[in-house]
Amino acid sequence: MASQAWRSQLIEALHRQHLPRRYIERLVEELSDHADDLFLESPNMDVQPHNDARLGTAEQLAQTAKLHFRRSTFAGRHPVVTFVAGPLMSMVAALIGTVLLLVAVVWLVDCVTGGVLSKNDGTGLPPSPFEMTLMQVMNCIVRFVPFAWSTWCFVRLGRHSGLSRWSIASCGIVAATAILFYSEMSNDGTGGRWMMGFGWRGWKIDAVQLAQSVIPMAVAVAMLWRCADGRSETLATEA
Amino acid sequence: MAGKRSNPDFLNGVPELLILQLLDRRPMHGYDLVHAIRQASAAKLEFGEGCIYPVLHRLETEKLLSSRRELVGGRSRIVYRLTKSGKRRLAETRTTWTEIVAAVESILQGSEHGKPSLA
Repeated sequence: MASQAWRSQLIEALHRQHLPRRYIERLVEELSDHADDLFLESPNMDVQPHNDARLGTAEQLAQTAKLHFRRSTFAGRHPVVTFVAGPLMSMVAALIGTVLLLVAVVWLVDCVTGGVLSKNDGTGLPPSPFEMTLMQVMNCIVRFVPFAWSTWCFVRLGRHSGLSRWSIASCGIVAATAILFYSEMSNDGTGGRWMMGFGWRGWKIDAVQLAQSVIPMAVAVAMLWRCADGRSETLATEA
Repeated sequence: MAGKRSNPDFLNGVPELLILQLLDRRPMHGYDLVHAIRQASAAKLEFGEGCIYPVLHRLETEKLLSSRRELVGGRSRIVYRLTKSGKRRLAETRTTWTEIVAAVESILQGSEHGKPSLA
């Protein structure tokens, strides 16, 4: 029979391997069924040693589970491609997607308002305060959303595939790329201009560029902290 | 398969082959599979029984198996079946395994290429 102590030990060991909750629940459920069968097979045996001898110890099971779980995911089989090359591609895709989405929103706003945004096109008139505000909002979205979204994706992917430590690397790459991203708006009196790109422009990094990297950087630091905490807890338990 | 009950490392991949082969005969749940392996191998192949579940879950993720909760002997169990992809993989793995066994056998029998050269 699957004793509560045995189950708790198993669940703890599986959590220590950073496996997803749903995976743990199913594995524990099936192993408990198996333990029940073992009990029915030999009801006079001491439960815990018998389970350990036949099923494997909680640590052995957790390590095997992690190994097979990793092998079952693309991220587990190719962590470098997923967590190192992946963020670069995902950020470019996220930026293009965000810009296209914003263009669609502007087009929609223009349609709904009866051409308020397009009436000055080609006239050489400076953009209205409303247009400038809209552009500033769009600029803000482009500077922060793709990086926050990429961070969220890779943290989630790391958690889902049991490779949380690799997602720290992803957050670092996202943070570094965020610093290199610039997006500038200007109004020279004849029309608004919006320029964006990636590049190292000497040490002329402004506060907004640093702010762009705050979310991925903060997440990376928090995850590193948690990893270090987890390691010291494990060491304390082992001691 | 982990722990002191494990077979040598070079048997990696064998549990998958056995699982696919046994499930090709009939759908089974984990405990059933462990019993079938032990019976079929006359207890020569032993491993931590719990380690079969991560393997089953991985094979299911790879779409080689499908699972369904069913009532078996009055108890609700997760029963695994071989899918079409699983059958294909089984055929491939069996061929590979047969070739490996033949190659090893040939070396053990001391065939032309397997004979050690005289110094």
